Amino acid sequence: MIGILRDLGATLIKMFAADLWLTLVAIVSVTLCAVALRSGLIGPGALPFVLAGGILAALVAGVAHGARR
Amino acid sequence: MSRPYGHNGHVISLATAAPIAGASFLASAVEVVEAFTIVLAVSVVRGPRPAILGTLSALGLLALVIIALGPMLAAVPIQGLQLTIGVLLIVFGLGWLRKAVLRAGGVLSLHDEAAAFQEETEALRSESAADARAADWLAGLAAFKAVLLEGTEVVFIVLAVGARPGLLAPAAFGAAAACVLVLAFGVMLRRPLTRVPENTLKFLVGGLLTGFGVFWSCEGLGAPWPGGDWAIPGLVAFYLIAGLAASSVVAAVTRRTA
Repeated sequence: MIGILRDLGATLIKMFAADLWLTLVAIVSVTLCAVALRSGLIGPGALPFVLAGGILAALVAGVAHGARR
Repeated sequence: MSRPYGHNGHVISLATAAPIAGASFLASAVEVVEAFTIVLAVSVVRGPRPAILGTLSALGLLALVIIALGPMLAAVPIQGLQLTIGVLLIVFGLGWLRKAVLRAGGVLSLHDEAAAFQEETEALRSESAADARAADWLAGLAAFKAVLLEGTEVVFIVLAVGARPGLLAPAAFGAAAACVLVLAFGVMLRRPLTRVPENTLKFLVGGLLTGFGVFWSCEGLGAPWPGGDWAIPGLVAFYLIAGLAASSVVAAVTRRTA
């Protein structure tokens, strides 16, 4: 039973943090967008495009990081 | 254009429901194929009884989790829920998309169902050499674990993509359809489903989940997309095209350096 619970925990970690670096970049992108919106740096009309671009950058960086390894 | 239909008073468009059911179907198919390989190995080595008992026990436990979590999610304010689920979907979807790109580019090896089946069969046979009753118990436990672990991912995907009012039904329908289809093919063929294009499915699901995640994160932040739900197919296409371009570049670099 302990083994199953351990594997279940590992599965949950793998789901969201298999590549910790990619996970952090994605969370930071959303957080930065939220901060920029609240502080008025970007308007609600531009935010979707900024976030979509940020996530694309995270994907490209994640692929480049994985390919180098 | 989009034909709205009602569900518990909530009106959802086909532009939302179809990709939700599609994402849930494809993601669940990937997970169910992996779980089926282990259950089949159990069935081949120890017979159908431990395989069926292990599978049903895990499905029962997963059903309890859904029954417990469903009402809890309904109690969370919708904007906070959309933002949280949106971020989780981005993280989960990006992980799948990145892995699929690296596999398509030749950096990571492809998942091999035949090898997984062989490995599980050998492990179960070596356990069967000792006590037969203990071997049945261990085989049932292996089926239980496989269905529970792969099912956990299916449950997350269904709850996440169905987290908006009225969308749980299409998400659950997609997952159920995948289960029925994979099991029907599996029972018919009685061998691992090696011809399922797992990496292509993972690639598509990665793009779908990332697209949904970005869409819902923006809604959760109070900055909805122009075009409403119609932005979802656009976002999905955007990340899939980006993924295709990235895999072409990675493949070209891998070939050059090989």
